[in-house]
Amino acid sequence: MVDKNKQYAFYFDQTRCMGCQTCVVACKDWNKVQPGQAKLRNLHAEELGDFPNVSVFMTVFACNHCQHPACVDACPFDAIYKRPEDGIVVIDRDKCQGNGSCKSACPYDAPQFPDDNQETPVLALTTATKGHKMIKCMMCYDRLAAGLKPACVGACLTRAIDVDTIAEIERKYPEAQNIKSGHLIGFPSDDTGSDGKPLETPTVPSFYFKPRK
Amino acid sequence: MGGGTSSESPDAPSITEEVYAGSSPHNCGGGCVLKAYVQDGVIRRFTTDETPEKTYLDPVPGDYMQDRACPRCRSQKSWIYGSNRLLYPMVQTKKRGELDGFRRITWEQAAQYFKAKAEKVAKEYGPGAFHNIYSSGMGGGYNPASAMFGLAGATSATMLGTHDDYSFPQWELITRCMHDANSQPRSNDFQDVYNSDELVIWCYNLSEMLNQQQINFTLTQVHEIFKSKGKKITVIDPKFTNTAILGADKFLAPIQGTDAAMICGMIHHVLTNRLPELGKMYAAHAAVTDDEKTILANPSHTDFAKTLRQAVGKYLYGFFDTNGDDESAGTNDSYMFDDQTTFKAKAIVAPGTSFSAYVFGSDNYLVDNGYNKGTSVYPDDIGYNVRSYAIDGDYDPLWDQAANRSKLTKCYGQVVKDPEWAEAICGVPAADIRALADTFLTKNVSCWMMGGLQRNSEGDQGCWAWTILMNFFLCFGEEGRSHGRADGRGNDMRKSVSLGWSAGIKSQENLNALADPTKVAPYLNAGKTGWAKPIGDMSLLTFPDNYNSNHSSTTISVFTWLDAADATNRSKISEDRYTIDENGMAKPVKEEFYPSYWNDGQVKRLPAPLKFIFHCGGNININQNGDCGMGVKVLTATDESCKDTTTVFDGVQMNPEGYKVEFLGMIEVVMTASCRWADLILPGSISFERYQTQSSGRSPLTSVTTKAVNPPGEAMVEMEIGAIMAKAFGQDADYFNGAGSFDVLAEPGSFEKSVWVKALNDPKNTAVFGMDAKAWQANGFHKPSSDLSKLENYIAYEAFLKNPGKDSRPINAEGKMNVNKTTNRTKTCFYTLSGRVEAYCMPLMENYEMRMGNNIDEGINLVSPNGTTPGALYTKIAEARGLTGKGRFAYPVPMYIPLIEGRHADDTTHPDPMGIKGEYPFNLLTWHTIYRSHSTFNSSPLANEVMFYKRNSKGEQTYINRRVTNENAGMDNNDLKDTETSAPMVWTDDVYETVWMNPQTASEAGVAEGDIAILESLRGKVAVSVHVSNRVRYGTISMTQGSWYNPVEDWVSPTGTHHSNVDVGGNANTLFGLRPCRIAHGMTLASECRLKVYKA
Repeated sequence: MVDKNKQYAFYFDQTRCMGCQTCVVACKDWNKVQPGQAKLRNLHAEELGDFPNVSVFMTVFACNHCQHPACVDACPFDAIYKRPEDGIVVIDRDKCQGNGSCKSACPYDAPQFPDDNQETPVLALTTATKGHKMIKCMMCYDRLAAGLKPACVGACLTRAIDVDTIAEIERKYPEAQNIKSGHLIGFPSDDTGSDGKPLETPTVPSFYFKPRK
Repeated sequence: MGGGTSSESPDAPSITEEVYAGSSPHNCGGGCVLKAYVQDGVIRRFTTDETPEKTYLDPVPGDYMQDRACPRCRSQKSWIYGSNRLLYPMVQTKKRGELDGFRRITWEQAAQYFKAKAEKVAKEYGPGAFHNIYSSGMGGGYNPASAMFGLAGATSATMLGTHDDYSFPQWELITRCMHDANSQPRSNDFQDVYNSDELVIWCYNLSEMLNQQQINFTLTQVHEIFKSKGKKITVIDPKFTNTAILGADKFLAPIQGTDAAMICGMIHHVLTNRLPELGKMYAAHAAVTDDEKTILANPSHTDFAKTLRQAVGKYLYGFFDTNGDDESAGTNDSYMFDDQTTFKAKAIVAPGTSFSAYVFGSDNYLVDNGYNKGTSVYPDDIGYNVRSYAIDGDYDPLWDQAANRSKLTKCYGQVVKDPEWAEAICGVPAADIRALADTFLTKNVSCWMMGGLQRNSEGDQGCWAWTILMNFFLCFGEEGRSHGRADGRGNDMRKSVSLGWSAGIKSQENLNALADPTKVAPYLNAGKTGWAKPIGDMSLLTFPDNYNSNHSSTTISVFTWLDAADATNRSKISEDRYTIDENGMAKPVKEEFYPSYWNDGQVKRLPAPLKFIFHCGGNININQNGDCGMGVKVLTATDESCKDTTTVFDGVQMNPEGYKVEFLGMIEVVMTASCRWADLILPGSISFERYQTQSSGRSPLTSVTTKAVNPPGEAMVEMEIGAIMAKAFGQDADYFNGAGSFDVLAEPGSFEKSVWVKALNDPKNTAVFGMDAKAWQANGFHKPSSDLSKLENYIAYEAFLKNPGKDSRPINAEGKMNVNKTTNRTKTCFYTLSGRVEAYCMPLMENYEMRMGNNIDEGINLVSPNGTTPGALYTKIAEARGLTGKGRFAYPVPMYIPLIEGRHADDTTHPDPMGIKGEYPFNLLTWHTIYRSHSTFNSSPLANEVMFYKRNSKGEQTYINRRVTNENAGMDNNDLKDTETSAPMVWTDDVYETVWMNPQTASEAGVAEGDIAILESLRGKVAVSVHVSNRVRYGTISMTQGSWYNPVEDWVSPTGTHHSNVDVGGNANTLFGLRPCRIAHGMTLASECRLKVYKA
């Protein structure tokens, strides 16, 4: 059972999101990820309807610091941890061997592997990820430790993102839904890995939202 | 398996960098907060404004928002450290445009080269041959260009000057004539929107263009508060923009360039079906007496029509014909200034010449009901004022050689412009057109407008018609009722940082020393800005000193600078035209003039050839100007007489190719297309590599950016580049102007820092801002108000609404119009001929004639307004020549005129004067993306990789590739050791700009999602990646502006097909043309293009 006063979660207001990706850029910049195909946050855009009666649904997320992280279960090297004090899922790059199982297991494609253009490859690693170690959203735990909000929260031009404990999110946004109580277009379900294989346990993402109608 | 305890997990790293707060303003219009985190002399990352906020959504509403930076500035680190930064001065040693011809030189050599070129041009051609070309780019830093021109004796008073800009040329010219806004009219403050019933955002993609800080969160709050109160937001735009995503309850999509037709439809509906509501609205809001109110409430009253048109006429001159039945002040028939007799004789709105007469065409309705005195005099056809002479053997494609006149298009003068007519043109359903009009009629509306309605061949018309519409609806002057460009509250509190220093170059002495007096431009107006002698025929003006007809007479429209570069370097030809002599008689003259490509009267009359172009920042030369191919052609045109093989230094000659435009140079930070075709490139700095200050935006924010790191390589801050140049002329002491003596090459940054720190610590600034240099580094910005919601609401044109014409326009002691005006809020009279907003503007026709030399189309006749008297339009020359019954190229009322390369919803009705529709079935519309600021940030890797659907030839999302060349292994995610310039980031060739097209367009063009395709116009070809979307309509293809021109002579596509002369950089300007718009002769680079599309 999750401790709502401890587990940190994202809140995403889709009615406010126009898909500018300031959060995507700010995240990459703050976390010193070089330009290239690996990125910590991802935007998904969907259109419905014909011009001019079109609706656009933007959904953007990073790692959802799930209650039952599939990545933690998948890693054979114990390199991924869920912190008990705040539920943030953290990668220890010293232990990471570039196995890649975490990426296949995660429904949200949160584990990312930089390419040669972003990082020097480490040739001794397993070849699955071409000599690269995993990077992922760490919920800006450095900023949280300093009493600051994560980079994406502070960047969003329309204040569509928040990060806080579940208890606080439920208090601030009483109409907030999660994937058990509602549907968010563009947000994957938590029972299938990004490799398409079903997971033993749904991951239960720490992700709350207000969907656009 | 998996997961240890927290004590085993890595600790969060500490945040240890030193923070430099500031801003990085670009030509976006914003100036958001950016904070650089610096370690070991390198910027590691950025954050933005983190001060606590107050918003209108709080339990206790307030307005103190963070100025958050958009993805452009958030990507700045990757741009600053990009591999294409210019690191040292370079000179072109081969032909212009040959990238491998650039040679690295020293700063001393660069200064030597600049001096040699400048002195030669000054001596041979005089200061009129110099041009400090329009440039935007990064704002806020010191721009040394003026000082550098001054070294050669060229100043704004002596060299080629331009008027208006690339952003709002049609707004500027039109509102200088028929209004006095000099750009878009000013609306009430943003905050006033909460007093409105509805918000209409008309052609203003604020969410992406981000012309002001806080603008997206502003719209978010408005949207949510409106929703809670049942109020609506309507977004009007040809494309379903991000603004529409963010805020639209209703989305109307007139085809680009057709708004004037929609506006005519709205007016037709109101005057036909909504007279009772119109009367009611005027009774409620106009300055009318109680008796008038009673009449206005009763449409069957015999005096209803007279009362209504007089009420309209208090604000809007020429909406109806002059009826002559009421001479009292404040009606359509009387005038709010001094010279009533002259005015009446010269500019009354003759029968059938008013704007409403145009709207109703040949229909008698307005005459029968007592509003007008005649039906429309305006013909159905209109010509183009194009050149009758060939250039290089070619005529203008709009010139009909056989008929010896221009081709024709439609202006629909006789057509009844009801909503159904409008729908077939603009694509907005007639019911929606009516509903939009009804909204303005019955509700309090805030209508926000920005740069739309222009930037095409008939952009003048849309701006004018819209301004009339808004004034007709009395959408101004009260809380909750306003139209135009919104600003934030408290802007009058905005303060500027005083630098306390400027370069002391003695330009006049240099002019005297260098220039041959016989070659000095005869137009010199020493000591004042702008030439003394106009380039335009002032004899054609009825009121040469007053009433808006005389402006823009001493400069050319900026969009015609390339025409000037071409025409003034050709031999003159001669033309017969008419001027007016001292007795007021029309006099035929034979004039010698430069052969302007676009028949621009002012380019024709320039006094000197254009020889020397230099600028600091800006990418207009090639990239941001239309028809890039033509730009290259003109700027690489040569002549034997221009050859000069004198050695400047060591293997570098003056002008061995013989380029007619003898010098092209700039200060720049990356290798743009304009740099590529330059002779001399001087590497400058990006924000945080120099000091700068900015004061702009929705909130009254002033920023100071403290220099945090040095520019890379040998790049210098711009303030010190000026010193290097001045030293070559022996004028460095003048340049430093008492600030001290500095060796800027030995100690780069020392001079700039000395001046800035002194200024920031000076009481002049500390008293205003309460901060010294150290505090500025920590804070970066100053906001004088802690809650804008508590400030007074700005109500534009408030006094004008309440007391139109109460005070006539002041005349100064010399008997001339006093243009030092009172504010928009307090004035009761406009600086127009009638003192009001002009739906009918005779001075506009005369201003056009003054600039262009002729406005009369003798092959077109006006229509009789009543079947007996001929149609007539007064201007001084038309009366003198007895041609008042002839058609014009620019009329005194706005019209719907289809764009030359435009589109109609029912495209069979589009006139197609060039006969290209069949071969070019689609249209191009560009927009300002959030990922670039014009062409700035195009090479910023982090901004580029989030651009939607930017793909390579395999259809994969593309990235800037970063080749790691050093041996450091195991780079930590948090370790930036090797991101300094020793590890270059290389822009891959295989990157294509995205175009958005509707599924039906794609299907007809035979392309699919992810295909690499070619867009081809009359001007050229671009290679693009296709994205299929329903956010754009059938027939109009959309792409963002600002990508970099990169022409390939023989390009091989992914399918192995050869194509000649393809711009693989995907610059929309390769496709757009340079033809200036009809009236303002301004920029037409957004929606004026027909295209064909095919798979590459």
